[in-house]
Amino acid sequence: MQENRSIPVMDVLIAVLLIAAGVASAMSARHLGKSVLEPIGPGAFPLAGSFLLIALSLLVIWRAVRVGTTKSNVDEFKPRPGMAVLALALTCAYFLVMQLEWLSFRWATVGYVTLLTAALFDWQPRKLPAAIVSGLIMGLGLTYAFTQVLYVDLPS
Amino acid sequence: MEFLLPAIANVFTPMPFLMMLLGTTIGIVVGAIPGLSGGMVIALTLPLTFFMESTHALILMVSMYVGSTSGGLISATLMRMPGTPAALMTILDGFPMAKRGQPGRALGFGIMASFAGGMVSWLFLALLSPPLAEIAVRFGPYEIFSMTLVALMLISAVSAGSMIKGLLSGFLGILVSMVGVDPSSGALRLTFGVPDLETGFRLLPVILGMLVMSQVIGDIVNINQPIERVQTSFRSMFMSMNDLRRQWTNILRSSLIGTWIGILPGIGGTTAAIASYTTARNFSKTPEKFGTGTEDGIVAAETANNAAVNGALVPLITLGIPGSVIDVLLLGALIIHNLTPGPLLFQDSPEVAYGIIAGALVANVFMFIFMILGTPIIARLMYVSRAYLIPPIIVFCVIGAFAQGNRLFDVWIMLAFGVLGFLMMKAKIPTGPFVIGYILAPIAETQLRSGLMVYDSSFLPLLTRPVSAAFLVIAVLTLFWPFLMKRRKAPTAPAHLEDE
Repeated sequence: MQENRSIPVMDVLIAVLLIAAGVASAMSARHLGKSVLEPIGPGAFPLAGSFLLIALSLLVIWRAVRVGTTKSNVDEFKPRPGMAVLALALTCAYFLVMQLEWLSFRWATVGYVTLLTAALFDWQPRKLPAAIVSGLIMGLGLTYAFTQVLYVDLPS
Repeated sequence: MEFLLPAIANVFTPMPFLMMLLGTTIGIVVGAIPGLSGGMVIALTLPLTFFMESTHALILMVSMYVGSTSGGLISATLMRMPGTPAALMTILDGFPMAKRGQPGRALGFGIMASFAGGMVSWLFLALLSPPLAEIAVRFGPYEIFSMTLVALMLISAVSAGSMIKGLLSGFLGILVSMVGVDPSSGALRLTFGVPDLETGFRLLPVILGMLVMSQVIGDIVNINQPIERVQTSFRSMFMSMNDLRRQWTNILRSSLIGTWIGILPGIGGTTAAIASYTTARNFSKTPEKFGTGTEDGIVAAETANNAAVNGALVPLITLGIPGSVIDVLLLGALIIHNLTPGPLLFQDSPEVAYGIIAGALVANVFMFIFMILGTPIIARLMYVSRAYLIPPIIVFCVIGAFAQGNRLFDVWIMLAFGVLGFLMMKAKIPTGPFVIGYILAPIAETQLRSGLMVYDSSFLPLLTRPVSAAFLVIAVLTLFWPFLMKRRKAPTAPAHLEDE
């Protein structure tokens, strides 16, 4: 197995994001007033948490640049990031149609489960009936179970 | 005994018994399916328990915990994939034995060992918990703060790989938990002017996003991952008397190791299995057989990981200190049901505290029966394509995230935390510490500030009160425990474990 060293980009990216979150939190927590009942007040924990988050993120970046990572060139299988992006896009669309009240939970779920199942099977025509059945069971079955049996509120 | 026997009898009444059956069965099946985990199913179950009696809800979730830990054995043995991380060591001998044509024997040893480990550790749970809770009920805010600090130090213990990344994840969880109204002063914190954030990030959207949605996104990326199978035949699933005679010292030793490691904060079933496996190998007259399909290895690993489940319940129900990420979810369940985790549970809601203990016992017995009878069926369920499982899991996440506050905003929050959790996983930042920080930080903050109010703004009692000082020492030791373990482990760990 061939190995090489590289900078772990994901480590750096996450650390930068967390530094930004830490700075924003620290700025916001700085303006919180003191409490009259005890000396530390509501800002102490968020402020300390923000500073530690920033410090640890800087450490992660430092380690990523200094030490790097060992990357294997051989993958046992081909990852499908594109499929994950498609699934996330479908999921966002699913939430949106409910938020905008274009479809009820029942029909939005039928459509979403059918489409996502078909997509995960690479749109194979022979899997389509199973995807539709799965969608119907989830959409109609769950709506009945949650509203008629468990009395749990569902979106829209 | 005054409460325990009625609690055990209560588990056999219709509703609790149904919950126990359902929980154990779902737990075993989910534990057996790679890509799904006990933590995921317990997180998904939380919103369904809103309308249940607290005791029923806790029995359901404890049964899922017991079942999922045991179910991991099946996929570890038949597919060379641990259904749960705690079954990692079972692969080393379970899969080679199954491949040699003895899957039934490998599973039989694993099931028997799981049962024995669960029973021995249950004795400790039942005997240790009530007196410990009786002592802990006298603790004040500083003692509870120090205790919570010990639990927060779990972050270092559950940080597989880089401790810095574990701490980073933990502090992010702490910061996320601070958003919204400050419980002590009523001031708004970290809301950035967004009105929807005034109620803070609710428990379920955050947990479902971090633990379930992130895993689902990972599963979609890895949907092409091939699965290695062995031909399955399930004859001879029972251990003979001779087998039992040969294994009883191994079972007892592994049970004690598992229970003890379970009781220690943050060092869950996986570490218990590794420690027990390594010890069994060191004690063995034929250590060279470990890793080639020996019964001793399966028994050591499975006994210990199941023993750790009940062991971890001891600090959870007596002190409110979770022993693992799944215990953090149980802690969350107690909070959702307006119960006070910790020693007060025995005083205020003894039916729940003893219900958890009784549920763990009956679930362990049912797990044994169900796995002996149902493993051939579960083995078929394991090969159900993930394409069928992923969409329903996401829909359950949506229902769960929505149910707590009836807002679609929470559903978006769940998705956002799912993406964040996935990116963290890609960067090898563990998500477990995030959940621990998120749940425990508000408890620690409230207790510390209450202590300051009680003791005239003085921090000194933290060090002068003996119990508080003792917990602070334990917290420091817990923080440095992984370093100590690393130094001790290096010369003794068998080489083939490193490959796994």
